[in-house]
Amino acid sequence: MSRVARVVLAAVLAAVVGVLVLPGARADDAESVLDRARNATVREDFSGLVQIEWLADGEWQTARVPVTGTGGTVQVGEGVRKAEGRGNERWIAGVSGWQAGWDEAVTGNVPSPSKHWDLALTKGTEIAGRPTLVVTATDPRTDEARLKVYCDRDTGVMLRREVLDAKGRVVRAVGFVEVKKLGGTRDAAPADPKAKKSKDSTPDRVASVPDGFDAPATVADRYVLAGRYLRPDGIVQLYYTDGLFGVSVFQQRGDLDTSGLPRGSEGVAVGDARGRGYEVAGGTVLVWDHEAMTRTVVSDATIADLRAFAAAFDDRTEHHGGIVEDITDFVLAPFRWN
Amino acid sequence: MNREPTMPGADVLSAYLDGECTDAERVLVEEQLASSEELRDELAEARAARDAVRALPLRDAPPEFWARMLAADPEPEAVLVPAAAAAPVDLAERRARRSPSRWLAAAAGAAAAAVIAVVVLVPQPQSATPPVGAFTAAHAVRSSLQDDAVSSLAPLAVSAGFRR
Repeated sequence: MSRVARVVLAAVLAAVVGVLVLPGARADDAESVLDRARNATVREDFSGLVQIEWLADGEWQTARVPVTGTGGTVQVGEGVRKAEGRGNERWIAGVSGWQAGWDEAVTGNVPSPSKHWDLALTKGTEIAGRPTLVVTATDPRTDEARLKVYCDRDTGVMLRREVLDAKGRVVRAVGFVEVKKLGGTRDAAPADPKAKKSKDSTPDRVASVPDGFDAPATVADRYVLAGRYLRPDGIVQLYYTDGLFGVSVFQQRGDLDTSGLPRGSEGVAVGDARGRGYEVAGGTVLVWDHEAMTRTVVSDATIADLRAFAAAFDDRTEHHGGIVEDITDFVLAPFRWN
Repeated sequence: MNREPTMPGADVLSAYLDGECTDAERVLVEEQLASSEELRDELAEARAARDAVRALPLRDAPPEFWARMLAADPEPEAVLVPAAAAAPVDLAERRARRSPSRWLAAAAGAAAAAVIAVVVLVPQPQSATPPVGAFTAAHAVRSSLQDDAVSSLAPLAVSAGFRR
């Protein structure tokens, strides 16, 4: 092969590789794409249709939602079932009108996505007719991809998020199926729904949780506590994140009474306890009780990951009262109701 | 010849605490208390035990309790004899009739009262039914502040998927 031919071949190979794996793509690049995507819907105007897909009882469920972004305000849904976000405020509309869902900046120590995940940036498939870059997060413990985030190549807006199980199969996704507008001239923001507020369900950020509740700083050596909140109904909400997956933990005093739970759950083991699990549009939900406290965790992580989180949370919150508590338990055990 | 002073028995000490001594017994007890540290300790222990029992919380009997008691009593009239109709009681005789194991009975009674108090005071376990739909919405809201707002908030605009 002549020298010229070798140069041409090398150039072709480089071009092919460059198409498959972005030139110079590193974890830093992948992380910056994720970071950019988090705020892109505030920077860019857009409108379209988003589809939520989730696997429940082995069958795919889907739901479609119209979405718009105007002047930094994100709106999802329509009619009496919609939500709106602007800056640090969140509003939810229902049949009784708007209610405030959040009204303050979030603070806290959030790990970077690359702390627990191997990130790779590649060219992605088109989503709703838009060329994309895809960030793949691989669990370094198993070498399996667990999350794919497709971002619009031009604006950085996240167009699709896929959650994969431990075998690399997609089990949940949310993404655009239709893009009517993306980028371009910005429009004026819609009217503030605050004036139409009929109810306030905003939780209070608290420095510490009330006696009897638990809030470990880390769970399973990877999830970091990013917020503690006291809801108006007295229930404690904690928010954990490993940089890519957020998990909310809700704690209520008392043993779990399953009689009032919605149907459609399946029995699941949480450590030594038995609980109930749901796969719904809003994510995976686990409910169980531990030491006279009912706990609920919600996340878009897989149910296996959420079970591991829940068991680790229980482990971190075991109460060892020593010999006095042991004696008290022994004496009082016959008088307990269950 | 020195005569060893007679130490009052447990029943006399108990009566002294309860104000049921005769005058002579009360004088004897107080003389002995003045000279005997051992007796003072014994009296202090007896007083502490009595106070502990009295300090236990009083509970009202359930409304049907007395009706059940009367129905179960084979001689209800014995309960209903008016106090004024009863014969005068000789304190020394009454004390003499007390069982020699009075302290044992008192201790058993105190233990039983303590157990009852514990059972009454132990709070009945609460139960909780999580509003999972509201929790899912709350998670979506919180998540949207840390992650992409569109994908986080979109589930709020659809039926959550829970079945009632």
